[in-house]
Amino acid sequence: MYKKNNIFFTVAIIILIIVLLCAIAFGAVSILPFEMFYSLKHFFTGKEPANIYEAVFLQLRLPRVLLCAIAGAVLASSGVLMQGLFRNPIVEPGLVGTSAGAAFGSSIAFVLAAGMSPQIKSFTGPFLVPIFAFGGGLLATYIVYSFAKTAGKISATSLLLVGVAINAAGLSGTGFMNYIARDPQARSITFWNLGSFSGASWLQVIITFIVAGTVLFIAFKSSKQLNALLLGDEEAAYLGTDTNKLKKRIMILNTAMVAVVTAFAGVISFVGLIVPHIVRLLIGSDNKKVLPASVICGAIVLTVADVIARLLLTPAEIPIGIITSLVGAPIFIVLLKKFALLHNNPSAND
Amino acid sequence: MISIKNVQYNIGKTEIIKNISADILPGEFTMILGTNGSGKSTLLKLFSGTIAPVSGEIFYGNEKLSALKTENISKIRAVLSQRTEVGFPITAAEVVMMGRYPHFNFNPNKKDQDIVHEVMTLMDLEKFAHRNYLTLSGGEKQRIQFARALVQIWKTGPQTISYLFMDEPLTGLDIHYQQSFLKIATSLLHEKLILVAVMHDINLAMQYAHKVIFLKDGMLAAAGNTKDIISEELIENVFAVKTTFINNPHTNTAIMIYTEN
Repeated sequence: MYKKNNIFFTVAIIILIIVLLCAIAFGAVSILPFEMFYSLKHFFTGKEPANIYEAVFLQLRLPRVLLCAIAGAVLASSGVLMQGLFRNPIVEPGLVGTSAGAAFGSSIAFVLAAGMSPQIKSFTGPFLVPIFAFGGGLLATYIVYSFAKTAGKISATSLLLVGVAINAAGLSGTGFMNYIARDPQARSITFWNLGSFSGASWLQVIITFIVAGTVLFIAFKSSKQLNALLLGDEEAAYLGTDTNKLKKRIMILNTAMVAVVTAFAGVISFVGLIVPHIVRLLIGSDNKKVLPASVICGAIVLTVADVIARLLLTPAEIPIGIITSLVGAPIFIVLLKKFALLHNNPSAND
Repeated sequence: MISIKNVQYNIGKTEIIKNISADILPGEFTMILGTNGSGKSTLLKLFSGTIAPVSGEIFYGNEKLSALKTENISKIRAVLSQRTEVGFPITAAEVVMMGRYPHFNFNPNKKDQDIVHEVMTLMDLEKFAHRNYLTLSGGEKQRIQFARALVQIWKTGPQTISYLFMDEPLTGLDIHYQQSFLKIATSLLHEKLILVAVMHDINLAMQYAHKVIFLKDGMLAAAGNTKDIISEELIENVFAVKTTFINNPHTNTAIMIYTEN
C-alpha cells in the first residue's frame, strides 16, 4: 500500500514539473529553457531582462503559470474538503454559492468602474474587481450556509437546495448588471464568468500562495478529523471530533481560499468536483493522502487546461472555464451515474 | 458504574424519556428492550453522552458526564450504531483504524496497528482488511463497525473503566453471526467494562443478558436481573403479545414461544 502511494506521488510530481515547464515554454511566444535560466539569473543578480523573451517569461508567463497551478490546487483541494465535510460526492465550491456570489460582485465592480473618475480608479488600482468578487463570494456562501442550517446542523441536501436558489439569484444579478452595462463592460463581465489567467500578476501569485498555503496547512492538520467524518457526524463525535467546530473552521477557511482564486481568475467550474474523484479512484479516500494528491493533480489539470486555452486558437485565447466545463460536464455525469448506482439505498444518501 | 438520576428527555413538547433512574454495573451485559418508539435508542444515547438530558443527571462513576471532556471520553467510550455508511471508497482496515483516532495524533503507531490486527483476527475479519468497505454486505459492514468500536476501547489499562454501547448491533446479521457476535461481546466482558445494548430478540436477551431494562412509552416498565424480570406477564404487559416460556433442554435456559395465532 505505502509503496503504491509513494510511486503515485513521485509520478505525479514529475508530471507536474513537466507540465509546468511546458506551460511556460509554449504560448504565443515560445520560450526556450536557456532563456528561462538566463532570465532568472538576470533577475536574481538585479539586472534588466536582456531581451523580449526573458521579459515575457518573467513578467507574463511565469506568474500566469504559477497562479494557474495554485488555483488548480486550491479548487481541487477545496473539492476534497467540501465533499468530505458534507459526505457528499457532488459538492463543489460552485454549488454552495461562492462562484455565483463572486460573479455578481465582480459584475457590479465592472459597471461601477465604468462610471468612476480616473482619480478614484488610480486609487483602487487593479483590485476593484477582485475585492468585489471576494466579498460577493463570501457573502453568498454565508447566506447559503445560514439558510441551510436547521437546529444548529447543516445537512448536505438543504445546502445544495439553498445553493441552487442562491446561484439562481446570483446569476440573475449578474445578468442584470450585464444588461445595464455598456458594451465593453458587458464583455468584461462575460469573460470574467468564463475564467481566465490572462491578467495574472506577481502580486496575485503571492497573495494566493500565502492564503492557500495557510489554509491547506491547517486543513492537512485536520485530515484525521475529516476522515472520521466519513462515518458521519455522530460517529465522528464518538471518536473525539468536535464536528461543529471542525465544520465551521474548514468552511470559513475554504471559502476564503476559493474566493481569492475566483477573485483573480474568474469562475472556473468542475475542477473542484472532478479532481478529488480521480484522486480517490487512484489512491483511496484517506484524506491524509487525498488532500496533498489533489493539490498536485489540481495544479496539473488546470495548467494543462490553461495551455489548451492559450494554444487552441492562437493567437486568440479561449477562456479557461470553457475548457474545464466542456471536459468536466461529461465526467460529472458519469460520476453521478456511478454514485447513484453505488448508493441505490436511499438511506445512505443523506 | 453508570447512574442516571431522574433523567428526562423531550423533543419539542413530546416526552421521549420520562423521569428514568437506573444503574448499570461493570462486568455485566445489560440489554435495553421495549416496543418501537419506546425510547430505547434515546436512552442509549443518554447513557453514551450523545445527547444531554433536559433534566436529571448522568454519572460515570462519581463524575458527572456533562463535566467530562469529549476527547477524554472518546478514549474510554465506544458506540456501535445501527447502520454506519461511508460516503467514499475506503478499505475495511482503514475503517477499523478510525477506532484508534482518539489515541494518536496524526499517524497510528505500532500499538494502534497491533490492536487493529489483533481485533480483526479475533473477529475473523482479516480477509476483508483490504476490501472496499462500500462493497461489503450489511452484515459484514456491521462486523467491521463492531471491530472499530472494540479497538477504540481495547487495552485501556487495568484501572480504567471502559464503556461500550450498541444500538441494535445484530441488525443484518445471520443467526451464526448473531450468536458469534454476542459470544464475543460476552467473552470480552471483564470487571472494568460496561456493556449496554439495545435489543429486540427476547430469547437472545434471556440467553446473554445479565441485566435487562424494559421500556414502555418512555417509562421504565421493569429493570433488574434477567431471570427475575422476564416473565409472560411482563411480555404481555409491554408488547401486548401472549407468550409462554419453556425450558430449552440443551442449554437448560428458558425460551419464549408465541401462544397466539
